[in-house]
Amino acid sequence: MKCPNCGGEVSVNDVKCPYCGTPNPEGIRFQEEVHKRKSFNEYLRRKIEEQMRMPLLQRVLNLSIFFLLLIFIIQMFISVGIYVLTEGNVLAGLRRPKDYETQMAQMYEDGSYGELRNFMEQYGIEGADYPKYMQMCLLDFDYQEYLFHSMSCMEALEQGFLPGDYHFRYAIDTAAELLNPYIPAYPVIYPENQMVLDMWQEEIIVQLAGMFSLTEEEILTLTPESDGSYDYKSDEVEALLQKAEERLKKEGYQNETDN
Amino acid sequence: MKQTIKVLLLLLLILFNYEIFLFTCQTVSETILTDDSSHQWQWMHEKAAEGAYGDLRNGLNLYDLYGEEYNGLWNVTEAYHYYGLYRAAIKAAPNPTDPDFTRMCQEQAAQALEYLEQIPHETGDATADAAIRKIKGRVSE
Repeated sequence: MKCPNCGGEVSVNDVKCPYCGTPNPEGIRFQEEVHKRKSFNEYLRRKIEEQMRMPLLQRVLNLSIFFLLLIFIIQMFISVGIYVLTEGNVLAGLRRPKDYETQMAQMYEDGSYGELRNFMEQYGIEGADYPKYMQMCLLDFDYQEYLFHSMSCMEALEQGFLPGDYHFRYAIDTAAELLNPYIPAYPVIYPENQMVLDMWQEEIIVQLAGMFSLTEEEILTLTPESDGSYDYKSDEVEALLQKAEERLKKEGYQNETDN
Repeated sequence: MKQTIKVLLLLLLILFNYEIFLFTCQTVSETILTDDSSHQWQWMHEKAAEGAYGDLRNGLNLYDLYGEEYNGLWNVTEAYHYYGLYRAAIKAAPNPTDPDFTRMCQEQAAQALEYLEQIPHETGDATADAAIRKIKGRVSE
């Protein structure tokens, strides 16, 4: 546009004529408009910022959740690490002694099957790699259970009492597991295992007969089916338990609670 | 609603962290720092002295106590096992209808007595030795 005073070119951004200095009303109006709009934008910006800024509580909440989650993840790693070091078999193989096979063979020869099982667990030795040993360890586990219950029964009988129901029942139940093992001893492949199992079975028959006044025929109902198939002998165990209790009561044994 | 969920999540995380922290401390103290052997030793000897040989056997197996220091206690349980077998075999032996069974019982009794007599009763563990002598003494009763 032209200056009304000198006629020179004046831009809308000029508040005065750059040639004669006369105030430019258009330029003044324009700058006022710009200023107004800038103020309004600034006002809007502040308003939006205020609304977008989270309250303090929410910020604290978000930060707390973040740090607790971080601590949780770190603790999980530490716990898993401690578990693997203390319970897991990750390092077991590394700690295995060089002569472990000799030690295992000696324990097997000595009949220390419990110690053998513990040794294999301690050093992460797989039972599938040593099935002869593992089989004996499994059978021995049942045999030790039988001994626990039969010895406890014997203690009660020596004092003139009927054994407590727990030991009474499980002495016969664990005897049944050994007379009819779920995992057999494979006499052809491992004759030594079968020999030990035969010895334990004979011992159990004699002990049940003497301790509980059962006959050999009655005890042999716990042995495998004639076709060799496995069947858990729960009815037979129950029947023997009742017979044993009746006979012991006739012999004068009383319940400890009756005394 | 969002606020409520965040508060619940925060409380859950506090609880989880507390539980994991407790578990970690417990595992460290039980597994690494605690030596339970003296407590086990005392418990085993109490059972041997009380005549609770079944519990003693179970405890020795449960805690896998195969060190040489426990040989005396294992011998106690073996002695009682053979004593029990001997007594049962003697009682079951008389069987006029089945001489094979009678013979089996007599052999078991003889073998059990032999094993019982072979068990040493001077191992250095006074409680175990006393228990073994007591069990052996019962054979003649």
